[in-house]
Amino acid sequence: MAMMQGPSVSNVEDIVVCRNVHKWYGEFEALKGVDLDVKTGEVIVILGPSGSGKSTFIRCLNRLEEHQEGRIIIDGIELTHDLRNINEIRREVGMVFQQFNLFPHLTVMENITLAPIHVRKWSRERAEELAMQWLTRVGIPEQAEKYPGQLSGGQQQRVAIARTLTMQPRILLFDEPTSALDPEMIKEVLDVMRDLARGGYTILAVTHEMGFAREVADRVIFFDAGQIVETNHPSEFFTNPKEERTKLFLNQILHH
Amino acid sequence: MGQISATPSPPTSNSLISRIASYIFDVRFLGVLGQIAFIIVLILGARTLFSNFAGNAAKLGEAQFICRDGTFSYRCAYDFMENEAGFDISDAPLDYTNTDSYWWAFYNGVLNTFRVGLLAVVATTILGTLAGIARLSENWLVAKIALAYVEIIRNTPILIQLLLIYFSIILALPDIKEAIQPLGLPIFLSNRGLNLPWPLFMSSASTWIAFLILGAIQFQVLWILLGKREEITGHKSNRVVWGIVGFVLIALVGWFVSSSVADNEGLLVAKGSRIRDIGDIEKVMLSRAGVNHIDEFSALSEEQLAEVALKICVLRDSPSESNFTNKLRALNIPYDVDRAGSPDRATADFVDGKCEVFAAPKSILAAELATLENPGSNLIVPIQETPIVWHIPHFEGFNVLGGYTMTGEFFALFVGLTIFYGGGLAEVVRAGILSVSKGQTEAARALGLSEGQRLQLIVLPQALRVIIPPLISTYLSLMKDTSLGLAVAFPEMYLISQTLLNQSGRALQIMIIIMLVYLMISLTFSVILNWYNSRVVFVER
Amino acid sequence: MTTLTNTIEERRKTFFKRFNWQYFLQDNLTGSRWLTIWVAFITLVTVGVFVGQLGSAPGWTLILTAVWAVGILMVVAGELFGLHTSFSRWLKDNLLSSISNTLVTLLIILLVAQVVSGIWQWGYVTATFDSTRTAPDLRSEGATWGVLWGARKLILTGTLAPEHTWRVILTGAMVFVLWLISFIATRPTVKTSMGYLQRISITLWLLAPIASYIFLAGLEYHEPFINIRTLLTGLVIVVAFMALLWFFKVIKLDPVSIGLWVAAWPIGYVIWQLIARTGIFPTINVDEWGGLLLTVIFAIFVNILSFPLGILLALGRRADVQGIPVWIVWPIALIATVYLLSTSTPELWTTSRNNVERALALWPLLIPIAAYFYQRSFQGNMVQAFSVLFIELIRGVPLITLLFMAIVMAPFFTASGSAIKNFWAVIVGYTIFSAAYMAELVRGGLQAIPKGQYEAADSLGFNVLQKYRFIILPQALRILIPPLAGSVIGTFKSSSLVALVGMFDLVGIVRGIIGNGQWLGLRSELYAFLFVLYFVVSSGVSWYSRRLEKRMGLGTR
Ligand SMILES: Nc1ncnc2c1ncn2[C@@H]1O[C@H](COP(=O)(O)OP(=O)(O)O)[C@@H](O)[C@H]1O
Ligand SMILES: [Mg+2]
Repeated sequence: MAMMQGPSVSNVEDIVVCRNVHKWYGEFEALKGVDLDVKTGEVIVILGPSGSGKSTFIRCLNRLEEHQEGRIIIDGIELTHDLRNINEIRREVGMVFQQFNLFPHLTVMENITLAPIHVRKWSRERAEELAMQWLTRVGIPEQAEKYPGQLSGGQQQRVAIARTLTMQPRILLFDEPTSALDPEMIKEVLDVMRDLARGGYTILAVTHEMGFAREVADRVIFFDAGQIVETNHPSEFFTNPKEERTKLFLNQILHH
Repeated sequence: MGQISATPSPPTSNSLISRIASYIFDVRFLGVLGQIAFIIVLILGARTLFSNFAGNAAKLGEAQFICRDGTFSYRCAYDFMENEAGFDISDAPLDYTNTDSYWWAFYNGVLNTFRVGLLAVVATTILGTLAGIARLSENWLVAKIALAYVEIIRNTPILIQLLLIYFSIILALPDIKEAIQPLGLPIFLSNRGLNLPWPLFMSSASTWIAFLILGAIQFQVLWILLGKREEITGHKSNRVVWGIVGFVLIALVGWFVSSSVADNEGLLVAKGSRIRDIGDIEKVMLSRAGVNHIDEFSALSEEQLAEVALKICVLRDSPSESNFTNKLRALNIPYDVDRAGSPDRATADFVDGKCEVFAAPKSILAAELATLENPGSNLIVPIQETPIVWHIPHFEGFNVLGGYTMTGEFFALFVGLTIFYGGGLAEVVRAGILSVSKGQTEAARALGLSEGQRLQLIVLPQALRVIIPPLISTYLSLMKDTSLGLAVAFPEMYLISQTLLNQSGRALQIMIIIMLVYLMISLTFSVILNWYNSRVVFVER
Repeated sequence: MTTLTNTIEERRKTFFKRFNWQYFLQDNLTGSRWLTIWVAFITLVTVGVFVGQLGSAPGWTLILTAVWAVGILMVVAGELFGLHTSFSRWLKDNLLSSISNTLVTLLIILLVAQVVSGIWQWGYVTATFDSTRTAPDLRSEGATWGVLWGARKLILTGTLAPEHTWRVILTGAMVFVLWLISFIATRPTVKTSMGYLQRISITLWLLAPIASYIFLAGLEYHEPFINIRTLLTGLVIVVAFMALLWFFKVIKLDPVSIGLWVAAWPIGYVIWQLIARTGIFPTINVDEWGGLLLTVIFAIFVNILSFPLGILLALGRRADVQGIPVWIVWPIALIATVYLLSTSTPELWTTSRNNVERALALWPLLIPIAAYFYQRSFQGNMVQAFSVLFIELIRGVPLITLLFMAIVMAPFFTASGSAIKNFWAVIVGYTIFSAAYMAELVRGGLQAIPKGQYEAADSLGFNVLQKYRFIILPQALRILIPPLAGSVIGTFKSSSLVALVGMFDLVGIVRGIIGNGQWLGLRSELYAFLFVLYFVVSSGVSWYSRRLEKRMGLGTR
């Protein structure tokens, strides 16, 4: 399956570079100097207690939130207030949300093709062809003409993933994509994500699915109180964490 | 593990052009640019309007800005408001005659707006609450009728409702001579409006109010004491009932004490009239009419009655009149009232013999007595008073006088606004009640709260949170719709300003003042609303 | 044998369980003090009304009371002897569930009967229907309905000259045909087989206002037949507009559609001039429109105009563009204050005549205050500040003052020499008012769209215009159908207020008819007619909107 291949892996430079990223919500400092480099094709899982700034961080990467200090460079383009850069980066970066955020007034097919047609300026035929490929890829080609409200949560999330991927981004951001799903649906979404991870995409995923992290992550990053506390290989991270805070966290979730 | 590289080396291009471009495409820069463009458009628009205005004002509006000395100046825009109004107001709340200034006329209009608006706000609240509850009534008929009311009211223009109420209902009521008196009460409903008994405070009322305050304190004390006893003994004592009984007792005592102690009211009579106290009046009248018993007065003809009637002088709008005439009516004594604008006028009438007695507070009478030529031949007779006298409407000739008079126009506007906004409010109240979910009710029952506690502690606070914001906007719309007084000729602010405008031709100035007043009202309501909303939000966090 | 006696025993038990005097009294009378008082009160009132009506209309009162009593008997029979039918059970649950409810039921029956019979007496029994017998000396005791037929021309089109009536009918017919087309086009079967029909009907609907304008207002012919300047100006505007939409990527460059759009203007212009030249539709003075025609025109016109304006205002109120920063606002404000204090104030101060004018002379001090609030409330966002102020100021004053303002102020604010027709002035005032309310509705709709929708659109790379065009507005408008229908009805209803500023809409013309010798004083008939008319139209629209909402909602959830 050729289409399963992600974007070309020729560029081995760091595709995401973050330097000392700070973010304030009013008085509250949500990110306190985050440094992170991500190589092309790398799969990174971000862990951390609730409220530690994981979402804030990955939302900064495609400018859903604005960082106030430090630099973020995506694929050689710096994320500044420059309108052109923001638009370009948003085309490079795809995001999958916890709540799916499908457009309820459009069919699945329209949901997927709207952005390619109007943002990428593709013809409808081309957009629909690629959309169909991705729908097949995530396993629900027969649902193309339905409305999101008629699908199950797992199916909706897979549509959301197909919608993001049809835009052909190089980097994928996942913000707890399985947290709003019933247990029996989590697997179908994780399977898709696993495939993508192996397909060469650069992925930053916030998720508490430890199995997923162990299996496909190149690195696990542990966030706490707006900072990266520990960066580690998954096998190391789960069996032999370096930091006290990480141990505490792992204890809490593994013994749950 | 080779993560964080030692030196940040993000690629940046430093050519001048790309630097400038990145400034130009900066969202912040573009934002401010857009803002400034917007401001420029606004200023251009405003300038066109103003230059048009200046051009036209010189031509069309020259007369509008003329000062008293005949010069043209915008400064003199409002000078005309000091001119004599020259028109009458059928239902002025304050003392107004057509020689007063435009300002005064306008002020009367503003007061009328508040009078009808605030009264309608109260009535709407009551009607809306009742109708909202009726919508949820378990009696099918009640619920359906409330539904029909709401639907009909909400699907027709308030203007037509008002016109129907005024022209087809109020003006179709019987003439004042045959006014409807429901259940024989002193309430007169006719095509001239509604006359209601109205309480007036005499000067002794202050004493009585002191007693009432005492009663309230007593209630509180009793409440606490009995509550303590309840806690100790575990017996339920009926705190409310005892409190009310105590309060009523104190109020009654206060009533008698203040009536018997008070000695403020009096009658100025000539010594020769043989009236030494109020009881003498009857004898005087009997002898004057030449009959033996007061009941025989009813046998007298109209002319005879007018002949023998006791002629009294009072001050216009004074409670002394009601205090005295209520007593006369209780004694069935016919009388004739001469209402004077000032004590001097009344005294003059008394001296001229236009009236035999002058009823007023003693202090006034004493001062007037001193001004008389021969004070010795007159004297002041005290009369009893009660803290509150009822100003009771009654026939005087072909007219109903006294009491609180709602003119037909006032009544129409008041009823129209109440019915219209009551319909809207009914839906608000209903939604509020329904918003308190069943689960809440059950939770309250599970907690073992009584029905009353449940209503008070759980249902009402939650329902109110839903009800109050739309309630306040309903009030606001109601206040604005008082301007429909125009349709039924009720002289509220808008109608008065129209009259002002027609007379003076100063359109701009008058539009500005009334807009300001309405904005002031709106602002008040939105401040209240915002305050409430912020408080509720605060509580929720 | 024993089983039989047992069942009898049980039945008796259940009978007494079912009815127990003590419980009955407790539930209905003595349960609480308030209940007792309430029942006593309602008994008193009901008896009073009953006695009163027995005097005025004994027959009906007795019949209604008998029906009520039969109902009670049925319920009692059902309760005591287990003889409930579904009807008696319904009666018991809904009308006769307790003593107080039973009394309330009778009370309401009697009161309603009185009102209905009063209206019936006036409106039918003693009424006349002959349109020739409406003069004051020919009237009967009841309603004189003949006026409705007699004055039909005035009620329908007001003072419009009779020779133009066919144009009104034509417009009505056109709207009906259009409605028919779109009705057919939206049938599920037609929708799939003839999809183009829907596009045609939408295009026709968009052209309908222009056609109606030609029919109802008429065209005036100006030489020359083709004015090159007008033609080019129009063309430039069309192209600029297209370019703008293309720039913001809301439309795509597609030769056919672009060609159509660009050709539309010259073709339309030529047709317009042709129609004008033939003179089939000579101009009508808009102030001649009246009656139902004017009311309908007002409602439609104002709704159509205020809708986009309201959306713009709502978007403006929510616009979160970068505001003008403090370091620009304050220096400008302070410089302006100082400058004006030194130039304007001294003269005003020296010529002031009283303290009020002296205080007014210090007006430049208001600038820093305004600047402070501008920064604090809007963070320098002018678009937002303007929208909020506009909306709140308009909503703060009664409609009627705006209408009046529009009429009396129009001559002041328009270029001198141009006379504005009252109709247009009122339309402007009314549209502004309606747009402010519409804006608040739309804002509510926008707020109801979850934040995730905005974020998803952003993350997919849509620009602002695309985001609103394709994602936010379609959802918001769907949510807004019921409130918008409410607003359409509201506009229709309050259009009656234009009568108070001297327009001859339905209410205005009726007020005129009432003053006419032949129909003098027939207020109740005409107002009652208007009341019913407004009620029917308003409830019709709201019923239709509910249906529409249901149909449109089918696809989504
Ligand atoms: N829009 C916001 N305004 C203010 N505070 C916010 C906002 N969004 C997030 N925060 C705060 O920032 C912190 C980090 O939030 P988030 O990134 O969502 O945490 P996580 O995703 O790790 O659970 C939290 O304390 C949260 O309360
Ligand atoms: Mg999160």
